[in-house]
Amino acid sequence: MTKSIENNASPEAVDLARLKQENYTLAQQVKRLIKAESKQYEYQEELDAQLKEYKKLNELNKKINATLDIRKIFALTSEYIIYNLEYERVIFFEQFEYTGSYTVCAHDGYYNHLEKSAIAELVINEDDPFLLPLQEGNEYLICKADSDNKDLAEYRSKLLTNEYLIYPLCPHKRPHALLAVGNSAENSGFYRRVSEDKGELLGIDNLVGLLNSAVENHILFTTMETALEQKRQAEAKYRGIFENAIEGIFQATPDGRFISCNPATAAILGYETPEEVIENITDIEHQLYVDPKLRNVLFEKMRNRVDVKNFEVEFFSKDGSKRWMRLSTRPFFDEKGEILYFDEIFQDITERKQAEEELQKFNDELEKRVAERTEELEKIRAELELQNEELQKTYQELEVETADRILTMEKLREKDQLMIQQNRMAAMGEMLGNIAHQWRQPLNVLGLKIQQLGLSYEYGEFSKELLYANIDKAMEIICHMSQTIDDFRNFSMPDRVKSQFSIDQTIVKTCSMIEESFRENCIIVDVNIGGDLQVNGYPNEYSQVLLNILMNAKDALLERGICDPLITVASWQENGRAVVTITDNAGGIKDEILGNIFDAYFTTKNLGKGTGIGLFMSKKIIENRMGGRLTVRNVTGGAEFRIEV
Amino acid sequence: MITMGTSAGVGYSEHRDPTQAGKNAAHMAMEKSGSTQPDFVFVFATVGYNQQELIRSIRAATSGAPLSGCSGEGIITREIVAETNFCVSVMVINSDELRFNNACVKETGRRTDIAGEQLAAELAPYLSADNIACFILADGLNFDFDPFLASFEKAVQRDPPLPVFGGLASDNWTSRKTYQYHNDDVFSEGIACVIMSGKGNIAWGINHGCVPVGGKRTITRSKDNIIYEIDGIPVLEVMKDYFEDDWQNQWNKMSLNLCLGFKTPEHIRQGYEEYIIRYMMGKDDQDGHVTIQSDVRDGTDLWLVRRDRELIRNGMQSISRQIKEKTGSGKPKFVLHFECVGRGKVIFREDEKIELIRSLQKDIGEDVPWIGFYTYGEIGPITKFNCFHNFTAVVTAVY
Repeated sequence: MTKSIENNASPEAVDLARLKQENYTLAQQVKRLIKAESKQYEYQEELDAQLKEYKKLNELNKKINATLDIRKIFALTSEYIIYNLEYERVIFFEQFEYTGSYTVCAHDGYYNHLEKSAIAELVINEDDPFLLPLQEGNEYLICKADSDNKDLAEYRSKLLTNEYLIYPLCPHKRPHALLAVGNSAENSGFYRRVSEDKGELLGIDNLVGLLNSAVENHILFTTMETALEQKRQAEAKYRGIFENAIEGIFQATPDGRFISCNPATAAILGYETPEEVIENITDIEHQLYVDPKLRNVLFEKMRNRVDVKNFEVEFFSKDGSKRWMRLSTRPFFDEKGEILYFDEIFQDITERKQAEEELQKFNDELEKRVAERTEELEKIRAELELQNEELQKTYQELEVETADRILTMEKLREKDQLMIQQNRMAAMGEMLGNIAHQWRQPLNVLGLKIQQLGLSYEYGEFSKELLYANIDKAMEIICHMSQTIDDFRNFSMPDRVKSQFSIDQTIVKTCSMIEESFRENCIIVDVNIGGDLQVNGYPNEYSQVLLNILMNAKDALLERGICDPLITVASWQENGRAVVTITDNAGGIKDEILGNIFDAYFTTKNLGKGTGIGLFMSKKIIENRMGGRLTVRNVTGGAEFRIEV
Repeated sequence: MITMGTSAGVGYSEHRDPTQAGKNAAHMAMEKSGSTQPDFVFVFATVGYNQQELIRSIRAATSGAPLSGCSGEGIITREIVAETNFCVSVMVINSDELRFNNACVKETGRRTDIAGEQLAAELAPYLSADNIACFILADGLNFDFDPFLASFEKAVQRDPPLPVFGGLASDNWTSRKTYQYHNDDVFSEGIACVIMSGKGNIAWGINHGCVPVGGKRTITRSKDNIIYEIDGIPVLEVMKDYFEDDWQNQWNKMSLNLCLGFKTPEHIRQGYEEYIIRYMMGKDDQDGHVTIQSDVRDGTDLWLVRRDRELIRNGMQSISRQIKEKTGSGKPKFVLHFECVGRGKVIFREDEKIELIRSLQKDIGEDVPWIGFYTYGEIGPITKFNCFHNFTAVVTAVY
């Protein structure tokens, strides 16, 4: 459209060409206008969005400045981030002082219950490599939708965002808090994308700047509040100690005036109030110190910067009485090193002093008494030494006597052994006697049978039948005699272990052993047993006891020449025990010896006949071995032995 | 006898949690209307929310009252204009003089002529002599108005035609998916529709505010709603001179700054401005064409036009006058407002935009329940003829 207009053209053509040129120019201007207008609208929209953002940021700033509550600050900021910066999700982490880890203290944009719970429990460890770039001074961490950094990508699932930014708040080596903003993959298209574009980051950068100040203010405020609270508590504590202490506490000047004092000072010194002390005591050295020189000693120590502790002095009370005090001081010096004033804590130790004095008196008295007593004891000791010498002598004599007694005991034991041996021999003699009685009759029969064979032969009556009949009878008698030996041998063997046995069978067996001997002496043994009485014990020893008593009864019956000698043996059960009585009609036992018949070596028999051991041993067997009782009493016509097992 | 009439209340929320936002907006609306059991619910919301959760919470809060609505680029209520990805407005209506029956058509695709017939069939049970108006809330990415209207009106068989108002659902420039709401259903590529009947009237005003830049041009190659060439030059070649270098990636917003004006047809020219404006909704770089939302023919004259803020301001006053001419001193029961996305924050400063809407609301009536959204296309009759518009505000007052 820039071709030149020819010089010879008609005016109309010239006008037309000019109009076309103008039209073209105009069209180009319109195009530029449209482009400019488009750009203007675009900038205007951006500007509008920025202005809105700044306006809201300003409002947020005002709200944040109105509070020092960090949780409220984070809540307000979360709202701003979501509704103005238009990130979908926001989390604030605060460092937990004790562990150093970051825990979630505010979050928004998580509307699903499970997501909310998961985020609320999220913890970032201080030493997580993920935070390393921040500790190294990076301004922020950024994980874009396409980031493949392993550490950053790992936190996508933890933060429940596909793209996110993390800013440190108060960014020192250990940031006080962390701010995370981001978007889920699902919704990121409708939110401000996470991008490193400076324009996109401008909003969050501005906000973080604001937040850093707010968080620092909060930390400062919290620290200050804590310090103030500690100070308040310390003051209250000090005031409490000062007012309620039982020790006197005061401040005073070197020239002897009180600056302040507590109620205990007044009470100890006999005044009503601290004010009264301050008003009335204006020369401590002379009004308070009984010995003013001691105050100079005290001051000398303080000037030499020596800690004065437990310094004991005597003070005057208001009423003029003297009281002992123990004090400690702490001086405060001016620039020249002179004592400006000093704190003093003192305690009334008058009572303790008095107690000490009394204790000293008591000690003196005690020492005196100890000396006296020592003298007495010395005398007693000398007497005891004499007694001791006598005792030594007596002891030696006793030793000799004891040796004699031991010798006697030895002899007695030998005697016992001898008696036991005698008893055994007697028992064996009796046993042989009994065997002899048992055998006498069968031996007679055996003799007759043998003689019968001779006679029958002589008379021609011998036959084979008679021979075998007599052999059979002879063998029967021999077997019986052999059985008798077995019975006596078993009887004489002591039982090794306890066993269940029949009392009645034992009585029958024992009686059978003496049967022939008693029959020979015309002694009737009447056995009256009461059934099958079973006991636990030693059957052979029990049998020995029975035999012993029966043999004693036989001796007594024969010795006293009783016309119709009778021994009655009876057994029955009584109160769960097996009772056996052996009664004779030999006239009984004299009352004066009745109590001694179970004693060892006691016998009424003629010399060489009784050992005095039988009944003693019988009693031991029944009472010690079998837990029963063996007693004796006189009954009509004789004596009755009673065995209970 | 107690006369209740019509009561409406509008609630609003920008809460990011869809469940909470829906509940808050619904409760606020019911509180304002004094209703516990609404007769009908209009919902307009932006696309950042999980739409299903949002509608579920509103349905729960409004006791399952019949509901219709769609997604918008922003929402408009009384004194509040919000163009963000997260805002929702709810209007609840109780009336014993007006009836609201809703219907929907899903999966329309590009066959909007069939959709017109289907919708008419769905609405058939509710067609009656006391029908006042029909509100169409259709998908804004795949809608061709002319075939839809033709088949719809043919099926409904009303003379004069039933006035149709509405807007095309939008998706905040993402060009992915818009949403339509019908009771519990949330769907895309469909139409949600409400037919209002009973004792009541409707007044409306429509105005764009665009002005031609340059002279007349002619469409030299086209098919239905697709334009290939203007003055024998490929249409994208014509357009690129007016756009910045990155125009191909910024088409949605770039094309707002330059649109197409067609001479207003003779039969409606008396009730409207000189040009009807069309937004170039889409383009195809491969095929070299642009798409608009109504049909054109080869040989049709067109003018490139641009928005003019002053004209828009004046146009708002014109809308107010148009409505008040009908309502007189009477106060509307409620207002439904369909505002083009090209008239929001992409052209006005935040304060200007709010002031503009407030001024209109003040003119129409204090405290009138007001609900609207930023659309990808507006529908409103010129005289008795239903028309599709771009870059306009269609304000309908029920009185």
